[in-house]
Amino acid sequence: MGVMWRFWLTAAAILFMVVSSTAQHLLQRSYIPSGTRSTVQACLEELQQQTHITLSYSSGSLDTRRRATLPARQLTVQEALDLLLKGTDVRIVEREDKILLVPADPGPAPAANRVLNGYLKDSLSREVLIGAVIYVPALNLSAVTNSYGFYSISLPAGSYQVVSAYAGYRPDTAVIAPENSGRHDVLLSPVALMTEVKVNNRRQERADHIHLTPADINGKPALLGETDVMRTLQHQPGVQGLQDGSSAIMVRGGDPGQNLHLLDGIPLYSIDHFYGLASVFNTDAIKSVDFYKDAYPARYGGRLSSVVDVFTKDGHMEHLGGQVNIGLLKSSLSLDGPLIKDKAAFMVTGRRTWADIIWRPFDPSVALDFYDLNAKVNYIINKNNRIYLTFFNGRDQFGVRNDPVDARIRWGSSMAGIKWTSVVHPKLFVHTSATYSAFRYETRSKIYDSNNPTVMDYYTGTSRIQDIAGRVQADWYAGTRHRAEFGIKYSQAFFRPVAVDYAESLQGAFADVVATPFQAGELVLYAEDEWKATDRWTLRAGLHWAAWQGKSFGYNSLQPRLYTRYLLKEGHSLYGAVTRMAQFLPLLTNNTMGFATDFWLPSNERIRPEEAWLYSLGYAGRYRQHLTYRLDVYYKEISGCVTYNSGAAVFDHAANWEDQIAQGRGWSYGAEVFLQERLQPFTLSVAYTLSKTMRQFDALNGGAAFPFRYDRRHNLHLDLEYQPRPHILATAGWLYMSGEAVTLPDQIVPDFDNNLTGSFGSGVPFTYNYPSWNSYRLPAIHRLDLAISFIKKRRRYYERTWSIGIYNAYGRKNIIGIMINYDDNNQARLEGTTLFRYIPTLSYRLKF
Amino acid sequence: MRKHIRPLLWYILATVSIIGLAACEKDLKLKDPSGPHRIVLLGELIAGDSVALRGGQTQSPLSGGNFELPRNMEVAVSGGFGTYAASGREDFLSQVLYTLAYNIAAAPEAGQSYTVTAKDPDLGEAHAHITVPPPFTAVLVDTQRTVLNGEQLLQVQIRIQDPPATGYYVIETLDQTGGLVFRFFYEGKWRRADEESVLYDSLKNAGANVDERLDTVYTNVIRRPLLTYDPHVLNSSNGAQRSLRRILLTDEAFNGQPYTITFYIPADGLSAMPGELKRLALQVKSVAPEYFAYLRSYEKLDPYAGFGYDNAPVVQLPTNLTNGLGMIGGVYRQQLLWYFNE
Repeated sequence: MGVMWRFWLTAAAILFMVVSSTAQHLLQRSYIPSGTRSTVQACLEELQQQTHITLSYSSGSLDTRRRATLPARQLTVQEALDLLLKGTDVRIVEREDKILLVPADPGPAPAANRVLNGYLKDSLSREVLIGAVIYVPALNLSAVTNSYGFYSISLPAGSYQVVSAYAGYRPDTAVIAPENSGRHDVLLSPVALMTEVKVNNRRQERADHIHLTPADINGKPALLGETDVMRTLQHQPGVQGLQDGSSAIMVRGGDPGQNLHLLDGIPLYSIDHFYGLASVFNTDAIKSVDFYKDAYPARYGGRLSSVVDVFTKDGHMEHLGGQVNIGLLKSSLSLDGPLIKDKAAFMVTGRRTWADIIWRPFDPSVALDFYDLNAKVNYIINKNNRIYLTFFNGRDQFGVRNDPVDARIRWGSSMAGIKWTSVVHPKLFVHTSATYSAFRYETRSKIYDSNNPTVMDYYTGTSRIQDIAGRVQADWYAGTRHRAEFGIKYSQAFFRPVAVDYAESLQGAFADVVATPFQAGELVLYAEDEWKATDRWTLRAGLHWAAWQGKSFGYNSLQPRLYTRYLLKEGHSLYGAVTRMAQFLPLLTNNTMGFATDFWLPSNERIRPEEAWLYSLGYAGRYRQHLTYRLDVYYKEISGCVTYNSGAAVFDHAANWEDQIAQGRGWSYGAEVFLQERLQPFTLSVAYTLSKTMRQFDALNGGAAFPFRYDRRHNLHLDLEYQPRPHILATAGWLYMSGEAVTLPDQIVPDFDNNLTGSFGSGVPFTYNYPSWNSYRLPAIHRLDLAISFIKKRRRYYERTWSIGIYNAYGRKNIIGIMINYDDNNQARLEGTTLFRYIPTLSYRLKF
Repeated sequence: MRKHIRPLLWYILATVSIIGLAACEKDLKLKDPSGPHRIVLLGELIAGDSVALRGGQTQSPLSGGNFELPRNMEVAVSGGFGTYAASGREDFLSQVLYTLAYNIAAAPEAGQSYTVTAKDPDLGEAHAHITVPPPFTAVLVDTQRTVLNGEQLLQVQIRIQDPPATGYYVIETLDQTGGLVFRFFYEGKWRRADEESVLYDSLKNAGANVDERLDTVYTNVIRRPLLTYDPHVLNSSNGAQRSLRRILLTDEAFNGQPYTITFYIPADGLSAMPGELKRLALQVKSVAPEYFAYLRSYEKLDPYAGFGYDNAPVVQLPTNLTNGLGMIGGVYRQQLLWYFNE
């Protein structure tokens, strides 16, 4: 409790200092009016010219033709506006980087008697734009497009200027005349290459989540030149990689299995290729990514630590095009285009690794390869209805043939879905989906008889999950200040957690073991309302209820979701979230040494669900126009964490796999800082996390708490971008992470059984003494990655990019494992295994 | 143009400098995880049997398994029978087991508590408190040969009469090979001539009249794996045909009641060669709780785990020694012996 109090007091003190130190008001700027008598309109224009402040007002609420005189002496903006507005019913509101003149008594919300709604799309491809903003400055009203590019905004009578904007696109301004209402689709034009970065960087991040576009992902240096959405997320504070080189992420003390990975809204169980060298999300297929680490909307559930919501491209409605990517690790080909012009489009991307082909000449005993395939078709039935078909399949294989044993591991995910979106009413958008998702892990061992060409199977161990789901969600744009979202989802999951099939020839010595397959159904109901209580204060409150029901067990979880944001002044906001999440399908992870493995273990009568409470508080601010920053603090408490019991391995004890599981609790707290300084042509980003993450299991470590394996006290990313010319982008990224916490023995002890029986037969004559779990710290991980891209754009669609660079440029020996080795003098010493040093990166991308 | 190229040149220069610096790389040192060496005691205090413990010391995990024997360590056992002390004796197993033998002629009694203390001038003092469980009975109900999954097995049924005060049982089967040991009697004790050959030779050379005898001693104990489908066995594999080094059973389901357990022993090699003395010792033990906890962890131990990339987390072995490591288990033992025919 004491720790909690200290944590929150410190957090509050830091936030107070930041808020106090950044006070700077537009209204306090001073200027000297000309002193001539003119109209209010002319006075306001003069004020804008002299102070460079944007004023927004509607002639419907302010008589701008009235004549007024301002004294010809130094006035603050506040004083000038007070004089001009004296006797009117207009009040002054400072908002972001502008000043709004709005009706003094908002009283009841303006009588919204018409609804503006529609889609925001790319003007070339007709792709819908997710997370784009449509804004009515005079009313200080805004709406954000949903996951299907739809928006709806209620307007009162009058003529209004409406601005539509999206990162990387030229803003569109339109005047909505009083007689115009209803459908207003907007086509936004992508900006030319020359100004793309500038516009990107001027984007305002929404405080509740991070929104990424392919431009954000492709701009980061990456291992082997393979850009990856998961690696890009590692550059966010609060997010860290598993080990050096891994694309998997851990968010605020959670393990990788606690992240909800959605591909077009369908959950994926495995997202790693090559044990995390790359993720299954093909950048070529991605339209945008939404990443949440705390303020989860009520529609998300089923995982504790984060949501990575990946949306793939719909396909070009006008033109057949594509993209070729050739890298050192893998290559990909993407094609998209119209099936029926402006009605239906397709997108297909495929990737395959080169690694097996490159590796084979050096070591034929090792087999490693992967592929993945994304496909999507969409059809616009009419202006209000559209359907989507989505498909994904990805497989990995890793094997070692060490005669006479040939051991292989295969794993992969598949998913398919059909979705229908419908604008039922200008204020009501409904999307309905039916989806299928599956994951399979297989470990197989064969024995070769060198005197006999026949191959003898030894055993095959499998773990499998399949689920089918149906969901209906409605987005209801209730009025000018309310936006509600509610939905229902039902899924049925089929599990075969562990099965071991021994070869027929071995049946005498070993019997097959099959954990009883079982099913579980999950019903989810959710609702939330985003309420713009005042011009400055937004509150989003929701509830997510989930019930997990099997034949002999049942759990349910009511999860409140609360997010609030208060706009302090231009560019400065304070926000906070309290959320509860539950996970009925935890991923079994190893808390000490060893590779992480993908065993999804459903909650049942013996394994209770994982649940977490997360409290977070943050401050987002800006200094002038070039420095933006965010400061966040959080505290997370997890119950029901799963891990392996001491000495357990699931495939060794397949029938009673639940016995191999230990459940306990975990907690994590920390502070996060994000800074971005833009001084063209340089952009510097700093993401730093100070955190502590612990676990406690009654069955492990004598019941005492111990550091989580990936408890990294410090995590720092420094990224520098340099773009001297539009077609050259150089990047340097430096990473520092505290070392992993691992469990190592401090002594070896003569073996008990050998001594008890007075014989020497069990193989190893000693046992290890482990003083405490995860009490040994590996050295810190740090490295410098450098890359430079040369972009050439010709005509409207053709663009090619060469990227070269070096990963871990100064060759730091970052450790991913430990072993004892003996030198020439037979002297034992502890040595770390290092994989990635001085790795050259090279990739070629061609868009056509 | 020039103003754009200049920063780029700086960038390239910085890159080359960093790569150049990397040429001066050093090996990344990992700190030694080793802690101080500690006293190790291993063995059982068995009701009605003389005390036979093994004592050693720990070594650094980086020692490559080069153990040193604690030649100056003394072990004392005190309890209802008084206090007995013993010095370590190096025997033919010491160089492979890394321990010295500590033997005391006194026998602990069931239901009594004892303190074992080990003192070493370099390692300090370690002690353990052990309670020997009260008596219980275990009787052989039935044995029969059977075939399971094509394997020849000996099916054994044992009935345990569980007293309310005890609750932790261990079943083991040991293959033992017998041999003749020549003993002589001196100063009130029968002594092995092979272990105290200097004394025996001096007595004979002095013409002393020494009583002598030949005893059959069973040594070279090898564990015979066990298999059981008993639902109350804690380390059973619940249907999987997995060999167990020992069966671990609690009386949670049958406290104070008789309980019959069925298990299987591989039936191969249940015979002796001509002239060979062999027997199978089936031991049913009631053990102290801390010993049971130790064995439960020990049964999960992968002897090869430690620094590899095993998925299974490490196993921490508990100890009942203060300032030391290892385990001295309190045991009340029932033993059934089968002598093999040629």
